[in-house]
Amino acid sequence: MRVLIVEDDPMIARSLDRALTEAGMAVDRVATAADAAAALAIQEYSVVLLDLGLPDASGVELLRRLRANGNDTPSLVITARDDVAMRVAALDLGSDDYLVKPFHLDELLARIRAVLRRSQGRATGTVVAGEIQLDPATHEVSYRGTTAVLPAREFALLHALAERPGTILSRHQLETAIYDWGNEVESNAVDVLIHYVRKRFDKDVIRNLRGIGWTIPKAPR
Amino acid sequence: MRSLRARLLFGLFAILGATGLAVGTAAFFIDRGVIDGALDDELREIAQNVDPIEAARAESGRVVAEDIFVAAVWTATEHQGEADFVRPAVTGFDTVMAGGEEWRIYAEVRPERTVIGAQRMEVRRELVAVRAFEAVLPILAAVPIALLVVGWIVSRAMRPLDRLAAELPALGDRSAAIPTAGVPSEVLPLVVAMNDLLGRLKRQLEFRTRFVSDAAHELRTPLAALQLQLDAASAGGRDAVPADARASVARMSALVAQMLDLARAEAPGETRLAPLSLDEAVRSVVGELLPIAEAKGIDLGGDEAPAETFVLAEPADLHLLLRNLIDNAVRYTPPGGRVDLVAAADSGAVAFEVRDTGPGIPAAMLERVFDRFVRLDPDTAGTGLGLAIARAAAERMGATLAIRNREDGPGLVVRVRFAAAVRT
Repeated sequence: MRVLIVEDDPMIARSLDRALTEAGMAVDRVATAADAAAALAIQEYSVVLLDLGLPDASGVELLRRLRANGNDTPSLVITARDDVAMRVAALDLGSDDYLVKPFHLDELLARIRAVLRRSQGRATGTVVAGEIQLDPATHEVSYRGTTAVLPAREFALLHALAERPGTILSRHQLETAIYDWGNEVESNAVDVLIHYVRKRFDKDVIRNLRGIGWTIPKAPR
Repeated sequence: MRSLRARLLFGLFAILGATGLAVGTAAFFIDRGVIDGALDDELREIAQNVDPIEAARAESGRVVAEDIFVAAVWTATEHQGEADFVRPAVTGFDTVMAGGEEWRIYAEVRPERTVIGAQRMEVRRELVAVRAFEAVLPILAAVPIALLVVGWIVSRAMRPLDRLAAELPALGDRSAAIPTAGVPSEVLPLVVAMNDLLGRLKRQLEFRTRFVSDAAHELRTPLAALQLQLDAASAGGRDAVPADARASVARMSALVAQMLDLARAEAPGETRLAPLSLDEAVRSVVGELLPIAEAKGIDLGGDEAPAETFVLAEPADLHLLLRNLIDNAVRYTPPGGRVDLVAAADSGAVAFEVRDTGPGIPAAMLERVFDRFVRLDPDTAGTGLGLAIARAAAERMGATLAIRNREDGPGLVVRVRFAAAVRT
């Protein structure tokens, strides 16, 4: 697996380089947007770690140019800026995830794995959230080595949660998701469906927050 | 004297009073001279034109009329005897004593007879005083009227200042300028200077906020490098990096993040409030804190509400407020504890409570916990900024924050009151 680090701060770049190399990845590093564009033009990368504050152009601008040229290398934005506008801009431009400095190495590795899984999923049409993989074409769901084909309503519920891992959905939001799939909704439908899904896989597949809603965690802990 | 109005009134009243008095006095003396002269003229007229028949009937040297004016006549041959008046020797005015009283006389001395016109000085003085006073009276009457008018003009001229003084406290904390419309030209430079000062103050505030924000952002990159190096080093073996070093970096990271939040919450500028779903904001914050709560085995939740609750808020401030309150609760609640999030709507307001089963706060400290960098438990990895951020964010939205200990056991309750929003 080949990773490109686009980071102008030498300390961060060196630390990332060493850590990712130790994790078994092949690492290239550049410090400017121009060098990054050049590297991406001649080499295929599994993932790009992109700092937004580059000396010659913003990371957002680099991302925009890459996507405009049809380059869809999975990207993970790493930045010191965490204002909402910046985050939205990066994600809108096809950044796959967003990590704010400082961060733990474990988290970075988990996010890289998630980005890779999602990009592979994109290629095959599957949805990946944490430890769950869903195939909307076949309603096939895999979780911790168990694979099963789910009935429409169970799949609809799980799909709604998996589309936005880490986001809590309320009962009403889940009901709407099931309804969208063309089914009648009874008052306890959500509880029943979740009960079935948990029985099929494991209690931990869907987390419940008392009175608030349900979620699928973003990354396994 | 500190009041401009009092100074003006005092000065103007003093000048008006003094002028009135001086003009009145001068007029009195001038008029008295004029009246004196007029009376003398009358006296001479009488002396020169006494009816000869009347004069002939008069006893020599006796008073012939008991009017204001009296006359005495002497013929050429008459002997004056015990006449009241001494027969004057020359023509002209004089002041003489007669019958124990003082008289002003005019004597007309002719060969055939001598006539005097006389007037009692006492009568004459009274007459002069009364007439002179009558002449001065309008001046004296004009003074109080002028004072009233001056008082009215002064208070009218001061009205723009009064208005300005009333408007100033009404200006909001974050307002940029005092309106200059209708400000008198003398006060305008003052208002312009104050606006200039306000502008500089606002820029200073912005600069401070930006500096804190920039500094915190700049700190993030070396912190990230440090964190990565620690993580890489401890990957080699558990004891490669002391736990305290890891805790210090974690604490520093939290501090930097909270400094940014505080800078954001305290940033000057108007906040635009809109009806927002409180439930949605709570879900989003709880989603962020779920990993921490799960790791500590804390039961984080609330009562399922039958309907969505809407509040008047600003998205970023609402998120900041809720995250800091719930994060605080999760942080200070011991493992296995419970954090409840409860919303209740009452007349025109929404109360949202975060109840934890942590140690609570000593009563004496309840007020101080909103101050910056106040930490109750040095062992907990808090920054002491959480509640300060929550309060700043609440203030920006016009929401109020109240904190109390639980009555049903150890734990803290933080209550936010929002203005309720009718969903449109």
